[in-house]
Amino acid sequence: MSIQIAIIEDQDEIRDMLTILISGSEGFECVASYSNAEDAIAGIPGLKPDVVLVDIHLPGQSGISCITQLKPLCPETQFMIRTSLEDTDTIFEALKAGANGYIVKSTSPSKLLDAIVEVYHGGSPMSSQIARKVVSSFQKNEISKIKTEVALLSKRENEILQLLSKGLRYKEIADQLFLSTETIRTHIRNIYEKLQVNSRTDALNKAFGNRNNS
Amino acid sequence: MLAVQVIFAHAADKHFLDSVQAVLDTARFANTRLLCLYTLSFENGMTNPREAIEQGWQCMALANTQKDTAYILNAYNALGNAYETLSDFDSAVYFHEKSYQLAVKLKSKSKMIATLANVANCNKLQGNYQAALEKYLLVYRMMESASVYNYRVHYTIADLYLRLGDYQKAAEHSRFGINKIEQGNDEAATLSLYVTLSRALLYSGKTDSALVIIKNCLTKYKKYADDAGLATALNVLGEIYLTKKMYAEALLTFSEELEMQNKLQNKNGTGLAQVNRAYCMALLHQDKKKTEAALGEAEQYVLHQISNSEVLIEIYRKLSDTYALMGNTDKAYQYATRYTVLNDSVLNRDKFRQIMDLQTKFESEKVNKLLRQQKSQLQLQASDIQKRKMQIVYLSLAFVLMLLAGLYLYSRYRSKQKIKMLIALQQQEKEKEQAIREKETQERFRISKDIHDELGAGISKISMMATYSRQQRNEPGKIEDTIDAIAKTSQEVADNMHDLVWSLNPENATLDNLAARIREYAGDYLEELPVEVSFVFPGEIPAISITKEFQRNVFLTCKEAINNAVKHASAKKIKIQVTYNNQTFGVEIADDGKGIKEENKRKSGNGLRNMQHRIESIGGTFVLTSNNGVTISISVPVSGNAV
Repeated sequence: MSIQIAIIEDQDEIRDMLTILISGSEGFECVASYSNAEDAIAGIPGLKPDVVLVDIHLPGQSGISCITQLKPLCPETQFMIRTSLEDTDTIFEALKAGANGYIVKSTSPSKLLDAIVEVYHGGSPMSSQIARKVVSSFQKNEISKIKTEVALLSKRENEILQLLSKGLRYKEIADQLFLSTETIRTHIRNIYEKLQVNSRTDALNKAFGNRNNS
Repeated sequence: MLAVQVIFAHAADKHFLDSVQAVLDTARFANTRLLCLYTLSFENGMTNPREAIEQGWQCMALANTQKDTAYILNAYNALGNAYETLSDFDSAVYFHEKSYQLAVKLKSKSKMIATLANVANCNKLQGNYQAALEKYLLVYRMMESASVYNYRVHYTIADLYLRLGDYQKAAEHSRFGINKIEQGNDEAATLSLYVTLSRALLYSGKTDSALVIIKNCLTKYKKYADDAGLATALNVLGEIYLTKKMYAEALLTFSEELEMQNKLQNKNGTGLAQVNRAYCMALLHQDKKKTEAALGEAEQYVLHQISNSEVLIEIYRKLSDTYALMGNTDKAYQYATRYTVLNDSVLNRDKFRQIMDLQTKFESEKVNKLLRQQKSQLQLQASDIQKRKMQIVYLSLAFVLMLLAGLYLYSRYRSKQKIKMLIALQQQEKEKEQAIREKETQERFRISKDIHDELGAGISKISMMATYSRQQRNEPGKIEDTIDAIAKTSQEVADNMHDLVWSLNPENATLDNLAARIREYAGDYLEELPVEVSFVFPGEIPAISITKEFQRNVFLTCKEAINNAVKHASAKKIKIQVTYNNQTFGVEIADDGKGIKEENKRKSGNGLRNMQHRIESIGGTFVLTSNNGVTISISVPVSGNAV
């Protein structure tokens, strides 16, 4: 069974190119494509594709806002951001919103398909820069939200993030920690989830006046 | 001393004197003995003059050995008082004058006043009214200048004028005194002066005024039950009546006075009143026997009781007149003779006194001079003080002005400095801004150059290839090669842009990020290639901020080295080693490729020169060794490239 993919992209040419690329590749099927977040929010919950490619900069609602709303409705769907530049802040925000992966737009088509497969199989890519952001985000949580029910990183997760931030690849980390690459992927997925939990806690705290933190 | 003070608190009685005697007997210090002796002598002065004289001399002797001038003065004073009590006025005057001289020497005003008053009093008692008057006038002036006051002095002065027969002056001074005393509120002194004034008016023929005043005085004296004052006033009243030839009233008045004088046991007064009464009776032609009886009584009393020559003169005169009225010419003559003799002797004595007075005048002049000197000295001092005060005022004013001027100048200086500083700050800010702008401009140039170098060439290459592919439409196989080239070049351009964007992100500009990026790039790039890569990286690289040039030049050099190893040298193994020692960042990239052959050197020379140039531009060294593959070593000092 092929991987069912939906695309959210406002530039028509790129959207068409992506559709052609995906549909023309074996094992991939493009089930829907949207030019804005609003249409996607309306259509995707009914389709429940395996992977959604999301452009962050959209007219109207942003891709991040779109992920925030869709993720609770389709928890099984993997969201993958496409960004024009390696804008770590934006990527990090998207990850917190529920994205499981990201890809730079300049990535070659073959690498794009590789990334989709990886995400579909539960892998979450993480560059050294993103790893660094994650580490500092959890450090902030430890310092300022110690009383709140934030998810904190385990010792192992921390180790993995530290190695990632030094530019090590998953395989290298796996070798160094005597773990399988698959375990590393699981850890990173967990890290992403904790990031999302904390992000939701943040939102709740903001919405209800941050009672626990006073 | 304490004991003595305690004793002083007690009344001056016999017991007190005994106590002082006891202290004196046990006293060890000369001071205490002096005080005791003087106290004894002074206290005994009025009651036991002989003893007082003894003690006075003892005090004098001790004070002399102690060279204590103040006590010598005190001893003289006590002695004078004692002799006064003994009616030895000549001796009293001598001692009082001695104490006065000492007071002058000591320049003690209060003592001068007291001692001179003593002398004057003794002069008066001697009957030397002129000397007494002059001294009292001096006393009065001293009192004025010293602001100490005893209103009795006015009465004494007025009385002395009266006794000297200067009724005008007596009346004047009485009035002056009354005015003075009104401020002091001393009723007794005022009354005495009124009585004196009345007498002065009487003797100067203004009997009516005298009568009014004396009647007023009588009322007051009766109100205060002052018998002595009443007696004196009655005497004046009687004399007024006599002058006004109101003999009946005069008789009544003198009778009343007599009664009072008897009560007061005033011998002179009693004698005079008796004589006056007899004189009135004779004038009224009363019963001869009664008159004679009164006269006889008076005569007897006078002969036995009265010694004061002045009173006697008056009495003799009155007695002579009375006997004449009675027709007893013999007696009248007898008393007239007595009167003349006594009066002459008094006059003689007065002449003798006039010589003495000259001396007194001379001395009082001296005192006056001294007083004037003191006064002018005081004035001088006062003006001096005033001058100094003004000087202080001027000085402080000048000081304040200087201070204000200083403050003004200082604040002006400060504000000038501030303005200068502000200008300098502005200048600095401008320079900074200028520098920032320059840097920004440089940065823009650099970025645009980078974009042009990294992306421009690739994009124009893609554009050219795309155009060229049109012409190759009919050449299958070739066109596919061109399309592959376009895809490859565009991917390169995309990768380059990625690197460029990464290098422009200031967050990445740390040493550890650079190392991570090198490793990440190599891992990504070599992952899909049949190349075995090994990394030797230190466990910790510090997160030192580095310049963009450092970050970019080192990364691009590494990237090119890795690319060269794969593309040109066909390496199968690449070893990447990163070091950080002594603030120097080192990267060694070694491959097992075919190395750089002579014929390739020219070809790859441009790229190598470019790499070398990059590293040297940031102060590093670039070393390439080609021996069983190529090893590129770069080492760059971080200190010069840290931010």
